[in-house]
Amino acid sequence: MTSQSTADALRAALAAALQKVASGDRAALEDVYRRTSGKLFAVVLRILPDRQEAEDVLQDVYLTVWRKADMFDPERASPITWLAALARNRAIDRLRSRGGRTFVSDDAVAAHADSAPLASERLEATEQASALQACLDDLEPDRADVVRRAFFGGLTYEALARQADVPLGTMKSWMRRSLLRLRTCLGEAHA
Amino acid sequence: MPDAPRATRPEDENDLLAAEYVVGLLDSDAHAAAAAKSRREPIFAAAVQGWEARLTPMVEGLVPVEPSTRLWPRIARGLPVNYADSGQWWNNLTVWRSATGLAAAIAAGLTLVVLMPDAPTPVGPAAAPDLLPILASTRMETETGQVMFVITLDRAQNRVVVTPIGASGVAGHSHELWVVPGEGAPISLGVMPSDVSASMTVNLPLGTDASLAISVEPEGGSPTGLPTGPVVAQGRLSPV
Repeated sequence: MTSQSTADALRAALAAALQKVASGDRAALEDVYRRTSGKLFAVVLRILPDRQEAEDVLQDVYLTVWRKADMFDPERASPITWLAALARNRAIDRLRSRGGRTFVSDDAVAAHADSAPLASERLEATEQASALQACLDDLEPDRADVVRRAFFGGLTYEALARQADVPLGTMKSWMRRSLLRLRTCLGEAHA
Repeated sequence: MPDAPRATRPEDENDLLAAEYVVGLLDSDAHAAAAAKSRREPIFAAAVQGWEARLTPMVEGLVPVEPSTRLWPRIARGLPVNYADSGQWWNNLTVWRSATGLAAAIAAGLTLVVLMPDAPTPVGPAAAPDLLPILASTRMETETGQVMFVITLDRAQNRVVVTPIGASGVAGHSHELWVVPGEGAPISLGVMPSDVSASMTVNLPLGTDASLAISVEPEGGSPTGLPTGPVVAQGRLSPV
């Protein structure tokens, strides 16, 4: 079996499990949890480095999966994308709702973002991930790095500008230009 | 010429806002506004989904980190149809101890009411016997009888919902909610809204041995991670 077909099989199994969760199958939720909690915990920890807080968010994520699994549409998103987007969303909501000042300093978040994976560390990338990687590689390295830091750490424009020691407006313009270029690049890749 | 000046087209503005929201670039207010917009406007919601699909594959490269082995049991207990062990933590939640460390600082005249009401809609009919509409409540009257906030714990979702009742905001200050453990420093649950209901997830095992307290902090919350202003209200849960 090639790694790609392994990935496809895992993806299909996860999608099937999510659909069972939608019909109220508890064992299926546990299956989804076993398959994905390590990955989702890694996602949340980048944004909320405090393990306890990250676990609280993860708990909320799986209880949300329980209630909203029927909203997962395998035609529109891969299951892991759907789950990871939900996890990031909850983690960022949590970070923003407390003003980002109470538990974790921006520096601590940045320290985690610094360890975001490099291209060479990726394993068994899906088509989507490979396309995104190619488009990120198409940006200037420092701009791609800023996109990765922002994405993994859930960092605001303000925090990114402070880290890079550039004016807020400059960071904003860098990032928006990078995002538009990614959109164009990914659109071409899909066409 | 990646840095050549480029005017943003109007149709790009909405899409860029969606991207900024998905990445997490927006500060608290703008983030909340974008979240509301995505609930309200299907076109914007679709743009958000588009960016989630574009960017989320980045997580594939992350090395998994296993959460505590206690996490799944906690989640399982939160499921509405789990009758077998759903009472466990609850049975242990006899009292939330009062905050000895902060008691001396508590200003008289303010109230915190702690309720534990609405269980969520049962998923199946068989779940009904397990779900009690009101599980616990503590009412602490002030001299004036004024209620400041209602704090609700939704046991099924492990979620605390904060509803301001008679909270009068002080300009330039925020009310921050804390869990006060039996030992150790208070842990922030977050800055309280002054005019709208808000919710947050809680770690229930922590809650079984802790009180809640509200302090007055600089706008946006304590800059230190610990209460810096006076404690203006406190409360504890108790079963009804």
